Amino acid sequence: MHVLEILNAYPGETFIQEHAKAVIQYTDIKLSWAFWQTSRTGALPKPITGLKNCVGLINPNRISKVKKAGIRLAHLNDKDSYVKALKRQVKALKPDVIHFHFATLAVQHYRWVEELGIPFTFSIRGSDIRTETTRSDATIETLKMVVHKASRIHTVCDHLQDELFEIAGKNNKTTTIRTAIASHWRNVERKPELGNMVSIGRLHWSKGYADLLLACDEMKKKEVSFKLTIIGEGEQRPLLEYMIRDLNLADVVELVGKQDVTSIKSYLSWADIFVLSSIAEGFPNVVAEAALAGIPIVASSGSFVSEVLSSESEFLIVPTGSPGEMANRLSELLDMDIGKKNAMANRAREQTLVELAPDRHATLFEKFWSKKCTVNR
Amino acid sequence: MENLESCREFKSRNKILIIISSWPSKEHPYLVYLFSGLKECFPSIRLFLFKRVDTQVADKLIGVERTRQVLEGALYRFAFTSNPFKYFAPLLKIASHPLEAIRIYNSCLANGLSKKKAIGQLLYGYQIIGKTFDLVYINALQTGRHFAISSIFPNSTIIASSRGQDFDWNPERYDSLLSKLDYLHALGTHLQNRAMERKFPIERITIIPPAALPTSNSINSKIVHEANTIQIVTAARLIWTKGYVYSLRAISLLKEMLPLLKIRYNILGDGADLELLKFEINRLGLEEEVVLRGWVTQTEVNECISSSDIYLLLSIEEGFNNSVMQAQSLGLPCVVSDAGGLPDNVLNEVTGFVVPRYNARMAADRLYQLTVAKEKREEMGQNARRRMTQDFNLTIQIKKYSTLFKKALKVIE
Repeated sequence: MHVLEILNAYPGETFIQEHAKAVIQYTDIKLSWAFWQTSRTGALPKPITGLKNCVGLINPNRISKVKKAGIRLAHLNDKDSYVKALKRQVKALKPDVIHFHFATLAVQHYRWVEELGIPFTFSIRGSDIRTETTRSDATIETLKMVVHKASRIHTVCDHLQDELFEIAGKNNKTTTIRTAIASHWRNVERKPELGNMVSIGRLHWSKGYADLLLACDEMKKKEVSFKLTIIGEGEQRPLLEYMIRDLNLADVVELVGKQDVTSIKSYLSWADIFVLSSIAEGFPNVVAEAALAGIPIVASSGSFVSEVLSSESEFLIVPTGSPGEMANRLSELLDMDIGKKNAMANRAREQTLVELAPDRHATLFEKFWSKKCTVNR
Repeated sequence: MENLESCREFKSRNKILIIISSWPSKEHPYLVYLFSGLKECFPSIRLFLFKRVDTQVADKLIGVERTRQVLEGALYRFAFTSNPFKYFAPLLKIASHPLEAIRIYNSCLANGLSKKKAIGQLLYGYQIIGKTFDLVYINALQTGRHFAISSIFPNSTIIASSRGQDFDWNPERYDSLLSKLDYLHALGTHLQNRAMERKFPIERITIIPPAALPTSNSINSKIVHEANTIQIVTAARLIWTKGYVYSLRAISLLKEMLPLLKIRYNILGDGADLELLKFEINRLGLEEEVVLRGWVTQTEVNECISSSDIYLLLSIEEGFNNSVMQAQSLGLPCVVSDAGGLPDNVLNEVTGFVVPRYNARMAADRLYQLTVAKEKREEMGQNARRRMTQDFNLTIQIKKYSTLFKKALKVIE
C-alpha cells in the first residue's frame, strides 16, 4: 500500500517524523510526504530515510507572490487552475490513500482529494479541533462534513475521540493510536540537581504557563528552593516576561527559548522534576519524552497524561487552573525521598516504553490503513 | 467643555506640537475630546501623526467641523517605501533647509546614532525640518522612542506621557528618552512611582488622570433586567493584560457560591485572546453565564454597562483604564484588580473593591458581597458616579493639561 501523507511545514514536526520512521521500519507500507509550506515546489530532500517521495506542493501563497510581481503564469492564474495543477501533481504520485496529518488540513483540502477519487484519512491532534472549531459554526459544519467523507480518522488520545464525537456525532471509523516516542530519549544521562524544574512547550495559552508562574510565586513565598527553566518560544512571551518581572521571579524562572534536541537533553539531564501545566493538550509528547528520560513528573489534569500514565504511582496530577495546588504538588515532589522519586520515574518509564513503543504504533497504523479505505460520497 | 473660560482667555501664541502615533480610533475616543479641548486653549497647536487619519470616530464625537479644526495643518510622518518618487518631497525639503538638515544630521551622529539612522531621522520627520516649536508634547513614551528628540527639537521644551505599557513592559528601554524630557505626565501614582524608580525627578512629574467620557442623559437611567439575576460586565480588548482568565474563574467561583442565582456576564470587546476565552468558558462550564459580544459601538457599551449591576476588570497590567471610569460615571460599582492605575481609579470600599491581581478567589468574594447586598451596590454606584463627575471630568483634565503646558512654557511658575 502506498500512503501519501500531507503535512504543513517541511521537514515535518518531530512526532510526525517518529511516526514515519516507525511505519517505514516496522511495516510494508510505502510512505510519501507532501508539504505546503516549503521553499519550492516539486522534489525535496528526504528528511527521513526510506520515504518513497517527498514533494513540495503547489502553494497558492507562492503563486500570489508571483502574481504580485506581475508575472502571469497561465495555469496558475485562478483558483480552478491552481486546483487542477495540484490534482495533477498529487495524481502523479499514485497514492492508494491520502492521509492529512491535521484536521485543519483535511478541512481545507478534502474537496479536491475527493474529486481525485482517492480515499483519505486524517489525524486529530488536539489544537486542530480545539482551537479551529471554536472559531466559527461554519468550521464545525465543515469538520462534520470531513468526518463523514473520510475513510478513517485517527486521534492521538481517547479524550480527543470523545471530543470529536461531541462535535460531529459518534462514528465507528475513529481509532486512537498514540504517538510513537523515539527511544533515544532513554539515553539522557541523568545528573539531577535538587530543585531544578524543567517545562517544555510553545509559549501559548494552552500550556498554562501563567498558572505555573503563579505556582512559582507561591513556592517562592513559602521559601521553597527551586529553579524553573521553560524551554520554548511563542506569542505568550510578553505575558510571561511581564509576570516574571511583576512577581519578582527573575531569580528563579528562566525562559530559554527554543532549543535543539541536544540542548533539551542537557536540560533534562540535570532536571529534578518535569512539569507540565497545560490547560488544553492533545497528547503531551514532551511528558512521554521526559518519562523515557527518567524524570519524575508533575502534570495538570488538562494535559491528559493520565491516558498513558497512572496518576500517583507514575506521576503527580494537579487540577487544571489551580496554581495553589500546583505549588503544593511541586513542593511535595521536590521534597520527596530520592528513592521514591526514582521509583516513580522508573514506573513511568516502563509504562511509556510499552504504550508508546514505535513498533506498536506502526502496527496499529498498518491496521488503520489496511481496513478497507473507500471514497465516501 | 462649558467651563474652560480661563483656558480660552489665555489663548497662548506659543507654537506647540503634539506627537501622536495614530489618530484616536474606536479604542481611544477620549483623546479626541482631549485634543479638541487643548486646541481651544492653544489655537497654535499642530499635530504630528504617523499616518493619514481616518476621522470617522472624531467626526462622530465632536463633529466634522471641529475635527477639521483640530487636524488643521497636521503633519505626517514619512513612511519608508520602495517607490523612489515618494522621496521627492522629503529630499526637496531637506535641500531647501540645508543648514538645519546638516545640524540635525550632525547632532544625531553626536548622540550616537549611525549614519543610516541619522538620515532616517531626517526623512522620518522631514515635515518638521525648518520649523520651531516652543513646546513638544509626545502623547506616549513609546512614540517618543522613534525620535532623536534632542537633535530634532534642540530648543523646545519636551513633555511626554507615560500611559502604562512603557514602564510596565520594558522599563529600562525608556531611560535614554527620560533623560531628554523636561516634564513627564503620568496617568496615576503607579506610573509616577515607576518613573521615579527610573530616577526621573518627582518635581518634574505631573499626574493627570484621564477623564470619563461624556454620557448621554438618555442612558443614565437604569435599565431594569430580570429579577434574581445579577448582570456583570467588562468592556475591554481581549488581550492578556486584561486578565480575563481570572475574571472567568471569579465568575465560576461566584456561580458555586450562589447556585440559585442567574448570573449573566457580558464581555464587550475583541482581540487575540478570544480563542483562550472560548476554551476557558467551555472548560469552566460557563456557556450559560458568559456572553461574548465582540466589538460594539460606544453607545452600545454605555447601554450594556448601564443595564448591569457590577463592572469587573481584573487586569494584570493597566495604565488607568477608561472603561472603568465610564462604568463609574454610569453609576456602577466596580470590582477591579490592583494593577497599575486601577487603585487610583476605584476607591477601595467606596466606589467598588480593589483586589490583588491574579486573585480570582478574592474577586469572587467581593462579587458575592456586592451581589447579595443591593443597597451596598447602589451606594457604591452613587459614590462612583459622584466622584467621576466631580474629580474626573473633561474640563478638569483639560485645565490640568493647560496648566502643565503653561508651566512648561514658563507662562506661569
